[in-house]
Amino acid sequence: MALGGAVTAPPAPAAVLRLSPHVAVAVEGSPWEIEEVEAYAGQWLLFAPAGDSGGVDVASAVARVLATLAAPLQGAVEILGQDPQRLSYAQMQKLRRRLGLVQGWGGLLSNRTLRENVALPALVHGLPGGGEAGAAADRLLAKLGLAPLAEARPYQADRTSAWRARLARALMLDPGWLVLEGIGDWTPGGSAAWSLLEQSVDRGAALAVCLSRPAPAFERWLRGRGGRVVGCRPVAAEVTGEGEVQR
Amino acid sequence: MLRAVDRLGARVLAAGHYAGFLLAFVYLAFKMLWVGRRQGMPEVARQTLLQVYFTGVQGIVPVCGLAVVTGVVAVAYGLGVVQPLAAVEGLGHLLVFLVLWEVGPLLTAGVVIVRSVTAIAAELGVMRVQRELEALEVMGISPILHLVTPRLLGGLAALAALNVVFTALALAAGVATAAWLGPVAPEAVWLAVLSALSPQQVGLLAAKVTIGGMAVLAMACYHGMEVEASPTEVPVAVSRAALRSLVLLVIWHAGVSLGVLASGAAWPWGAR
Repeated sequence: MALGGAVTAPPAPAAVLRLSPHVAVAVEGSPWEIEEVEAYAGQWLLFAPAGDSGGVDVASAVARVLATLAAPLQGAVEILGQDPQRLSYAQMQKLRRRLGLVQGWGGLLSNRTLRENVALPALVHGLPGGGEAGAAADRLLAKLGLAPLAEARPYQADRTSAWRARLARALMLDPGWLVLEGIGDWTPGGSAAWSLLEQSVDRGAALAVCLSRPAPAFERWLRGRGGRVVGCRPVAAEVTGEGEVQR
Repeated sequence: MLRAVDRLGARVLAAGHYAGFLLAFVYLAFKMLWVGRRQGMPEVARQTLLQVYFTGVQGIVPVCGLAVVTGVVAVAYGLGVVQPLAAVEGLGHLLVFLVLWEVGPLLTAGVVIVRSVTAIAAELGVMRVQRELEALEVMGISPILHLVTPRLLGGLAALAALNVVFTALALAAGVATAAWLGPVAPEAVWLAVLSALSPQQVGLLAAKVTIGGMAVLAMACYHGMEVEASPTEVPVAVSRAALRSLVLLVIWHAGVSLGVLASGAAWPWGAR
């Protein structure tokens, strides 16, 4: 040990998600503010209305912002150390390869089978550790109990199977930031889908679940895993035509 | 009066904006071939071949039928009206003018509009409503490169091939009709057709077909992707794409033909 040498502190872990104070998103034309939050690798987050959502789809609006598909009305959102608003299209595409969004509905390409849907990100970008995209898709589908439906088209799959296929596709490139818009397959006590999510978080991903009406059982389960609930609340303001918030 | 001028000006400006959007859209589609060259090009090639199949292979039967009818009618008309006046050269010129220069490209593009422009606009519109485009975006996959570029390239290649098929079949049907109906030898009609063709004409024809075809296919993609969230927007997008592309196609073809006639270049009836 070198005595007297400069002692440097270990570098602080980089936040996977950082929301500045007063980040607002447009929910069906009205602004909703999200609590300030920083999330790190291996962390679970639940984004949900702090009170009654009033029947509006808060989950979709928040998930779209967290997945770089929409810009916040105000405030800054940093994902995997980058502000999506300041990225060029090519840089944005690179960032998006490192995140996964499990849409609440739709999203599977209807002219492809479930297997082709799941393999698509790897076919386009390549697998992180190399390997064949189709075989990796088969492995994921088998883990999720979707092997018999591998050659089915999305319209032939029921809602839960379609959600699992979207989950498999989102996990294909082993993302560092995962966003779930709604829950299609929530089984307290565990299911194949949730085991895969837990494994992904254990490997270092941060995971956000966006729900408009979270079930108390899910909140308990999340808190039991050390997860954090991030509240969203409506703001008494108007969204102008330019997408700005006027208080 | 002033209000009418205002309205006309607004329409002209809107048309200019629209043309600008379409041009930018086509530019982006081709730019993505370079920018996204490491983003699954085999997938882009596969989608392009699929589009060639949908537009070209599946559209060949109606194109063949129309080609035969056009060739027969053109020669029957020519034998009745032109041939007594201008001998067999006139028949060759008529075939080149009607079949190759005017009716062929217009009918072929018409078939593509009915079959593919509507299908592309509907498919992309439904994909937007079903959040499939959003899914591609979030995977870092460019919808322009993986959906629009293959449809433009594949559709254009198919349209060019359909034009060649139409022309060949219509000319063959015309020559066969001439041999059957009149005293004209088939070889004489072929020679008349070939002598009425010039490399300049073929170049102009290629430009006419390519630019017109690119415009209608770009309109299909543009209006399909313009759909936002409601399924009721899809039929609106489809009818808008089909109607606008048909109007643009007729204006484009008429404009090119009139421009060529006015300039005297590649005059289809021979030197003036």
